[in-house]
Amino acid sequence: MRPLVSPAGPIRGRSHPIRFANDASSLFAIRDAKGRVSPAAPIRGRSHPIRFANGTWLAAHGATVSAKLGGSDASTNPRLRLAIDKAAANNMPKDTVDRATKRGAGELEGINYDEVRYEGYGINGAAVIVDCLTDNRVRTVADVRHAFAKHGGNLGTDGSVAFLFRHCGQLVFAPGTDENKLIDAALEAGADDVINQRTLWQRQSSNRSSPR
Amino acid sequence: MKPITEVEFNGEDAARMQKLLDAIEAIDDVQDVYTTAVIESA
Repeated sequence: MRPLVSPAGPIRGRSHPIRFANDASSLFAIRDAKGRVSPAAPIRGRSHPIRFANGTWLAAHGATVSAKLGGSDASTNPRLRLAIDKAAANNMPKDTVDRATKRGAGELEGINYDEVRYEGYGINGAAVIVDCLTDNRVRTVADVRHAFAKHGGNLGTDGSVAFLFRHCGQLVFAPGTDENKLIDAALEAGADDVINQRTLWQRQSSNRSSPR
Repeated sequence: MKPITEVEFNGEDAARMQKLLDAIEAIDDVQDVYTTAVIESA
């Protein structure tokens, strides 16, 4: 009999071939009704989206959610700008980002993604906040709860650790910025802290032929 | 998200905490993880 899935062949009927080997050690190994992993097991019950390299999947949907919340104009929506920057850092094509943005703004039809935040405790009661982006909350909460339970933490209720954190922004300046001027401006604008990451500055300035 | 208080970790606890954080970050749907834990990189 011809096997339904070849061990490392492309899946038929997809627009782009995704190669995967159905090996038993994989988290996503496909098992038949008796729990056996075989190259001939039918594709069934795959609940996880296939993850693209370097978090591109998340970057795209980050743009979708940001656009949904604050509009599709990156110049007036800082959340979207951050998502687009992240996508660019992951080498995602501009086309894909634009499409994700439009989808979020409601200009295109697509799956709906939600942002959810889970709060929990780690070892010794250290607080942990987990921000997720999901099309299926039931699956996500199960995954997060399992990760906590397996490694000695536990998932708390909403608001149980959020008070231990403060949402704040961060501005980063190029090496060679006049530190005194910067501190003056920061104090006037009500900044909390100015951190000079000397090692980073030094490394960056050593790459320049002449400091700016 | 900036932690207001911090919890320092050393030795075995640090390794366990790191493992927990790694496990959470490995979940497909997770975008960001914030923690009050400070893990010494010794």
